[in-house]
Amino acid sequence: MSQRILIVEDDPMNAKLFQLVLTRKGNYKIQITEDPAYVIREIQAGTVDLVIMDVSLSNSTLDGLPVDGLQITRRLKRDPTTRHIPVLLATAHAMKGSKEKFLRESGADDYISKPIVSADDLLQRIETLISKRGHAVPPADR
Amino acid sequence: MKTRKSGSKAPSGAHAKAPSGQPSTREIRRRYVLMTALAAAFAGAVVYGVAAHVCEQLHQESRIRVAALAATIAAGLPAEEIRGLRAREVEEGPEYEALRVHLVTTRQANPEVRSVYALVPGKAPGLWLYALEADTDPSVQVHAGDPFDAGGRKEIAGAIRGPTAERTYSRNSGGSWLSGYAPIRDAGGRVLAIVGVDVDSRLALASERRFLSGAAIAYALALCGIVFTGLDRYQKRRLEQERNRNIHVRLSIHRLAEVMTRSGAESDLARHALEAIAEATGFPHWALFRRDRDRGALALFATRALNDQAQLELAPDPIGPEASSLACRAAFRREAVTRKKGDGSGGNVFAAAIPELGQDPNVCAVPVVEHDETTAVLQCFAPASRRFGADDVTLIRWMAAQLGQGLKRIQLESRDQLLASYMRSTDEMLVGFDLDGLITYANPAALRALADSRAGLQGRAVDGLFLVSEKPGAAPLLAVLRGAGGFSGEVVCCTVQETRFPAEVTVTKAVDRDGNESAWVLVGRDISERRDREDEIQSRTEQLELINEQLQHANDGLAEASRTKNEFLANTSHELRTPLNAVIGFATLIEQGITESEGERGSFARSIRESAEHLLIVINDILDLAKVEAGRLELALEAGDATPTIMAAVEAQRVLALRKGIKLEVETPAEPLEMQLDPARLRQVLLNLLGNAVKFTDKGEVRIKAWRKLSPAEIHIVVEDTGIGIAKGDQSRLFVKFSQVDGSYKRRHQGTGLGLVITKSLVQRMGGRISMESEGTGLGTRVMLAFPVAQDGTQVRTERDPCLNES
Repeated sequence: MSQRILIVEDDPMNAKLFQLVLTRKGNYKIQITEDPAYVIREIQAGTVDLVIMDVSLSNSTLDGLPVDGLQITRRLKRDPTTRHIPVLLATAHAMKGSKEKFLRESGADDYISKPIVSADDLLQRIETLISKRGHAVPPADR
Repeated sequence: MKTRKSGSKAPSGAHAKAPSGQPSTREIRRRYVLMTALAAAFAGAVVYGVAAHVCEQLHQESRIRVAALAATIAAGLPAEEIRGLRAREVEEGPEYEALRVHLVTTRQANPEVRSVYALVPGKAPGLWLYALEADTDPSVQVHAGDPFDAGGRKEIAGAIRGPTAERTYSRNSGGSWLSGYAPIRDAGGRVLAIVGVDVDSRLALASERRFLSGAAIAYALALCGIVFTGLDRYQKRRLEQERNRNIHVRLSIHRLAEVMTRSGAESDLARHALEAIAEATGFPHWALFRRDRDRGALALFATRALNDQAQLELAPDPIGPEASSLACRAAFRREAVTRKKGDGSGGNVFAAAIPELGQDPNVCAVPVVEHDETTAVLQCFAPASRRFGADDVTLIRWMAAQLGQGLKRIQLESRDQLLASYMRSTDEMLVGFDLDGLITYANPAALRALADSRAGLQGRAVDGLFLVSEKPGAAPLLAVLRGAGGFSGEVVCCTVQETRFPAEVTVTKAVDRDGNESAWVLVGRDISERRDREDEIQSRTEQLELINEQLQHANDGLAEASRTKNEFLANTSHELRTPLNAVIGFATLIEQGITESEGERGSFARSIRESAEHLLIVINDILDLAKVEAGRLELALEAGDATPTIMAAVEAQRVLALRKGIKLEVETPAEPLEMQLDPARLRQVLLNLLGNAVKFTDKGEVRIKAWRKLSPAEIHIVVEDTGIGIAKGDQSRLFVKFSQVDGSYKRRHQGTGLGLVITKSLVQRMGGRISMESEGTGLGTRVMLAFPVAQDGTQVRTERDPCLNES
């Protein structure tokens, strides 16, 4: 059974690019959304194995307030019902220190900077995160 | 009477004269005892002589009387009868009886007579025999012819010559008597017999005894008188001596006190004091130790008649109960300590050091005690022959006390002088006032500050000079003091000349010698200068604070600029990387042949082209801004109509507006809008504004209006939309370089956010101004442009809109 990846991305061209790469080179099932509530719901429903999260989101709101990818990830990682799903930050914010700052602030599992020069690297990271999650102890109430 | 159990010689020699040259108490006593004894002895002798004489007289009288009685009896006896008795020597016959009766009668007639008898000569010479007897005591019967015991009777022989009596009394168990004898002679004068009579001596002895007892009483009285007189005299003499001694001591103390009042160094005074003490006491060798207040040890302070070696030997050891130094022991015990002859330790040291004291000298150490604390020790040395008596110790103690007081007073005086000179010379105001608030003392500083040369401060009310507060109705100082028991703080001083100055004062209660709080003492200083300085400092501080604030503001601005610049770089990087991602990603897909169809390959290539175009826009924006920043943006200004440029910009946005389903309307006047313009730059401005309006509007319309305003002559262009609007608080930041409305990573709608900054700059370079207004979020936005109307030959003046934030 193929793994399911949820892509949170506001730029349609980039979202489409992710979808193409991950379905054709990696055999993943892909969903694309900008809606944080949808992300939470899907994870709680157990239909997601990994989340690829953009940081700058122009249209995303949660509880009526605009949120960015870091805030969504933080929310996911604080919630016991969602924190077990690995989150990969994929962002064009790639200044010096951004990686450490984002991982620290959001609690995300990994970070990859745009432009993504190597699709194989992306796939490798995704594979690692999913297999690591398979070894991790699932939440008690699940 | 003080007793001194001493067998030593009276004070003599140079070492220890009697203090005043007077005889000692002991001498006086001895003299008076002797005189009294002599007087008593004399009186005794006189009384004895008189008594002996009188007794002898009485005795003689008794003898004469007894002899006369014997003679009378003898005369009464007939001589012839006696002769007969002599012949017969028997106790019978009428003559004998007659004689006997006669004798008995005689005896009975005289009750004093114990017995009467007649004696006749015996055969042997000096032997007398009883011839007749009339005794009172019948038990002692003698008979005629019994020998007369003349053993004790010496006068019997003398009776031959005439009447006589015994010199001494005879006695037996029945009593005592005096015997008298008288001869009975015949006609021829021959002694026939001797009549003896024993007269009871009770009466004679009684009268003698009476006399003697009288004499004894008289003597006893006389003796009492003598002793009393002697005692009285002695007492008076002794009191006189005591008085003299007291006077001497008092004079000595007075002299000592007088010495101590002299001015001079303390050590000199101590030496003079020791001279006075030596003169007063007669002891020449003295040492004075003082206690070091810090270390608590004794130190030799002054000496008299002690050589260097002795002074060396006197270096005391630490004060304690077992100290070998007498002075240290005295200091520890806080009482006089004497070292007597034969006391052992220490003496020989001084014997070696002070030869004139001889072997084993006496030493007396007396502490000067003040508040239960030894402050000094006075030590005296005397030869072995001169022991220290209670009087000496008392005297030395007085001297020590006087010396201690003197030393203390000298210390106090020097402290007082110090204090007084301080009070004279200090700049601090010192004012003393009584409990009624009337000034009793003011030091020169206070007088300088508060009074003038004519008027002093004495007797002035303190409330008039020092105000706790200048507010009307404020409590006066004295009331504050009475309430709080003191005061410390700032007051206003009102001088006699009615000037005022601020002062910092402290007022405390002064306590007199008896511990009563009897006055107030105010200490204070003028703080006007300080106040001025404080004011100056205050104003400088304010200036500095202002400068600091400005610097802080500038710094904040710089920090903000730096922060926004960093943010700008980050965002620029982000904006460049995002389209690059698509370019690289799609190019990779094509390159690796992961395409399903020719059409898909075409769509990938289109995505690459669109992303690259977007990249170009971003890069152009950044370059424009860089030019704006550097001031190198060049405008080709020329007079012309703005209408074609407006229409072109609207047409460029029409496709996007149609795609979003919003209306795009344009209103321009029929006549040309003549102004100074660079058409390409004006188009850029309008494209930016219209692009924003379309982008931020999801429904409704975007409208652009242009018209010519007459006064002042301006071309106005307005872009309105019904889009999301801008929150009031964010409107002022819109035209600020590098700033973003939202500092988070939520992406702005388009571009780098530099559009409005570049727009504003371009508008200004064309001499116009730009402003933006929005009623708030969701209420649409309205941007207004105003350009001056072009006039022939006039330079377009660049104006600034004061409501725009220029950085």
